[in-house]
This record gives sequence, structure tokens and C-alpha cells, in this order.
Amino acid sequence: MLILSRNLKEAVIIDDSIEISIAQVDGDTVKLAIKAPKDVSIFRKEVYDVIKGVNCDSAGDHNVTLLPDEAVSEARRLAHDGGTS
Amino acid sequence: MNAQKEKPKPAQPQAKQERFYFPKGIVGFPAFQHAELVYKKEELPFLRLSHLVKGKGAALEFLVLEPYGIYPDYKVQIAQQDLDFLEIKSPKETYLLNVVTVRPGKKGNNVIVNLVAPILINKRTMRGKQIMIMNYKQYSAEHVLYQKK
Repeated sequence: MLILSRNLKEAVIIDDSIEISIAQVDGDTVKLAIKAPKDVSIFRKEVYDVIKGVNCDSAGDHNVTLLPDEAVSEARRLAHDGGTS
Repeated sequence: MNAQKEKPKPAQPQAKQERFYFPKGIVGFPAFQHAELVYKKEELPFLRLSHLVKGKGAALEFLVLEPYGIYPDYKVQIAQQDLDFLEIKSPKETYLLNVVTVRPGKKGNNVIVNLVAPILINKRTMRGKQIMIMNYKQYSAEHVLYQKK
């Protein structure tokens, strides 16, 4: 892993196209400013991990075969009633 | 060339099929690029997003759900970057699908829905992406739709 020191307002460039600069530092919180092409996905890591975990659980035939009939009924009831909330 | 009588058209397949292209794949599954949406009557409103691999059958499937019938108050804020990437100009030309997971619980299988990272599709181009909604703090990635009681 590469570790670089940067001061406030200084930046790094990744692969000619992604620029990350230090926008603000406040105690433990560092605000990053990221400029990237629109096809680059940027996630907060902890949220990315949750999404990836849920996707991994969802993928595969086993998931479909485990779908309880009651859940199908419940989803149909919600759709029929116009939702929960 | 002899004029031929029009052949009768083959019957429409029963399952609805729509093909999508995900240039970036699905989060954690970068190769999940070509997919089709299929449903089985007995599973509706749950749908399956099925990975298409050349020369193979469906390799991988996600269980998904269109949210609006079920969560009428579900409102997503989409980053401009994602709208630009998918060339979306109007909400009317989009599909939104939420990934559904069946997870074993203490009393049986529970069903959870990811409301934070829906799959957004441009209906015009049939290109899609799993996005992170801007208002992600309002929703759960593990929203419980059904829990065995």
C-alpha cells in the first residue's frame, strides 16, 4: 500500500483522471474532494461492504428456492394495499 | 421469388423477458454485465435478474423487486454523475429494481430488501447500474420485508 502525506488543499492524481484533494480537516474528520470521470464509481467503504455483502447473499439459485411463500403473499398484500407507510 | 404465405407467429413465451446491459457489472460482481429480467407467476411481485453468459445458461441470479407498488413513499435522490452515466433525462425512462435477499433467521427464512443501492436502468438504452442513492441515510440496505413470526 502506498502512503502519502498531504496538507490541506493538496491533492493526488490517480491514473491521469482522478483527482483527490484534502478539502477540510476537523479533528478526526477529513473531508475529501474527489474529481473523477462519470464512469468511475465512488462509495464510502463501509456502505460498499454492506451492499456487496447483501448482493453476495442475494445471488444464486439457493436464494430463489428459499423464498418463503408467505413473503410472496406479504409483498402482494402490500402492493394491493398500496404500501406500508 | 415466390410470395410465401405469412407463417403463423410463434406463441409469445410466458415469462416476460427484458435484456439489460450493466457496463460496470453489479457491486461485487463486475462480470455481471448482460442480464435479463424474468419472472415466474408464482413469485410475483418478486422478479429475477439473471446473468447471461455466452454458451451457458443463467449462471447467477439476483432476486429483485420493483419498489413503488410496495413502498409508495420510497423516494430516491440520484447523483448527477449516475444520471449522466446512464444518459437519463427523465424519471419516466427509468426502471428501478431493489435487490432482495432471503436470509435464514431463527424461526425461518426472512426476506430483506436493499433500499440504499437500487439498480437503475435507462429503459431507452437498456443500460443500467447499481447506484448508491444520495439520501441513503433515510433508508436501510437491509430493510425487512418479511420476517417469520
